[in-house]
Amino acid sequence: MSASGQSKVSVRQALRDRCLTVASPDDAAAVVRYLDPRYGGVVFSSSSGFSQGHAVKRMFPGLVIAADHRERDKEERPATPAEPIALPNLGGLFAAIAPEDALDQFIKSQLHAGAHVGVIPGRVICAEDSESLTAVVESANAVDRDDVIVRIPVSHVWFLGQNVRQLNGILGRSRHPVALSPADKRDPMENKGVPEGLRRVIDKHGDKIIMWKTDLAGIDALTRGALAIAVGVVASLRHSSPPGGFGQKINERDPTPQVFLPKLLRYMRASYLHDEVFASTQPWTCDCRACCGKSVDRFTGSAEHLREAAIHNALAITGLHQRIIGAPVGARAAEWRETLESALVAHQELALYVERKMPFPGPLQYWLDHA
Amino acid sequence: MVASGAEVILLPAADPVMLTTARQSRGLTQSGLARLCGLSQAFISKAEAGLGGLDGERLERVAEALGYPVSLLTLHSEEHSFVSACSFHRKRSSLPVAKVRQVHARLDIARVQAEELLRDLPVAGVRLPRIPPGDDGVMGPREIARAVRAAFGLPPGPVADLTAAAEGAGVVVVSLDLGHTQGDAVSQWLSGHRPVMLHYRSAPGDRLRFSTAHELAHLVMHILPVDGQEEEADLFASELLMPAAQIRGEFSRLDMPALAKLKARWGVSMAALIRRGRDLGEISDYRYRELNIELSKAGWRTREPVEVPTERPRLLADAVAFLRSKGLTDTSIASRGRTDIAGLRAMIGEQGEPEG
Repeated sequence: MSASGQSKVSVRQALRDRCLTVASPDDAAAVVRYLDPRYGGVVFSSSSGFSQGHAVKRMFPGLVIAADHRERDKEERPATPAEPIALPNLGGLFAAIAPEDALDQFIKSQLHAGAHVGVIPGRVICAEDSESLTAVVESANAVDRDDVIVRIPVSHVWFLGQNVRQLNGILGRSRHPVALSPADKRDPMENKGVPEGLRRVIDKHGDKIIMWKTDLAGIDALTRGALAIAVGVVASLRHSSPPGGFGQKINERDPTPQVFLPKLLRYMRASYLHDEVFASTQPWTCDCRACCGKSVDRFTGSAEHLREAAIHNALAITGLHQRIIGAPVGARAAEWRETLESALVAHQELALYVERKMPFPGPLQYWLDHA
Repeated sequence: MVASGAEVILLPAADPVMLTTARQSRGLTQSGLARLCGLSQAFISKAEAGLGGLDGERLERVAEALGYPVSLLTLHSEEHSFVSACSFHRKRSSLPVAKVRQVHARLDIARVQAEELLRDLPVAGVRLPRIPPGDDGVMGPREIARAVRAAFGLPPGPVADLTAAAEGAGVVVVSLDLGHTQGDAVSQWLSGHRPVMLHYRSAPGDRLRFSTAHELAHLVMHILPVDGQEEEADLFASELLMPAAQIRGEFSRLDMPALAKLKARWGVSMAALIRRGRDLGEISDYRYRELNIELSKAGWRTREPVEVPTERPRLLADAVAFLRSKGLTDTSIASRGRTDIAGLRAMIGEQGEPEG
């Protein structure tokens, strides 16, 4: 593959240390101009809307481009040993071809549409379903190409206890880089033991793992040698969801976006920031290119604000990412630890400022305690 | 040894290891046994150390005190693999070491008695597979449990009678009153012998089913004790009794009435079901804690509602029935099994009294 279009490089070379931004086709179109081609890329969260790949490729050479096929929610099914890959219903001529040929065609269609890397879309692996996990890896291994990665969303339970050893054993058989995505109805990292289990996977297979649809867990993974990360601009694109659960449902009474606050290393809903955190104090402001000094609690549920928040989130995370990878490989963990320590202090300062409790999130505390 | 003129007649003497095992199986100290049979502790000690022969009238007194026939004490322990016996035991951690030793000794003896009873009978061979977990974790306890379900020919869903399935695969299961309730089951599978499992007769039905599955895990996966073996056995047992693929969808809207229904359907405790739901990611850690608190508040941690019928082994009872049908008396059958009539009946579940 070639991210620059100049020379052929391996998938691993092209992705190494990158922070890809996962966004809907509409958000991606708005976000892409803010991404640094040297360190970034964009993942269109739906291959069905992936028609702008070539345009993005032309306008922003250097950015890595990929498309993440997603079935409509109502069609989402867990992986089974017989059907481990979520191939789109291509219909027409595709309907009659064998599944392995359909997968090959599907990958080619992604690349023809402008993607630098083809994504083999594994279905969600339920807890303990080792047969389906093995089937995803084996199906992907049958793809004899060097420009693909295999997406594997797995129940968060896979990162607990003895499951990790099995997960490591099966992932170790993949010939392709793995876009690994913990799945839960809420943030998978909030489950006790999951951050630790994820680290065990990264420590074992970091060089082939792209943390897919993630957020700060990806940053932690990068400091321990993960190949790359793909961070969503909205909550539903920052982790995978188990079949039957559609992730955090958009609160119809509160459509305001989740806003990333780099000082705190956490996301907060804009309405919560406005009505609770900064209800009686001057709100923080943000100097990113989307906010330009405006307050972080200003976002409403309007389409314009949602788009603006998506850009802010992308800029804030990619800024953090660049700070981490800007450090020499051996010093990234120390840089991350300092960032976590600063976030802890920022929580304490904010608590004093707004005169309310501001607990330090569990995953951050784990990463700090085990930095 | 008796000298009769120029002729020397060798009387059968107790095997030291058999003697020790038999004594331990009764929970007796050397002093206790010595008192019961009117011998000195030093004599018993020497006999167990192989330093002094125990035969003749004194052997009969010891056998009577132990409640075993002489023919059991004179078996050659090495031929019956007593020296190398390695057992697994699902029990409370509070069970005293002496009691643990007693149960393991009783298992050793039950194995020998069962093998003697079954010898030359038309009983199916051992079909239980031996599958150690893989080094890379890919073939783990749950995958092995699925292989065992397949080997047993079990249909998807709840296991109707796990003990019967185990016996069908050649496992000898003996249910005995062991005089305490601090355990559920103990098992052993020695090379060249049948796998054998001892059930505590006192264990409640749901707990006993899980323990049977847990012990099957040891028989299938663990030739020797290894680190993490108990966790592996629990993972195996959960998958054997509650296969992920079939139970996964049954945890929605889980409350106490729903749990009671699931317990009746799957034949496992409500506590085990709650744990299974959490392990499969079907209920959150928070809901897991809530449900456990509800169990505690209702006093169901020690005694749950919904009785699960206690599975009872049939293999030995069927063997005895077969021998009776051939005209053998219970006395001769007991003799064949190196036990007495009370012991025989206890082994086949014909009486609820402590076995003799």
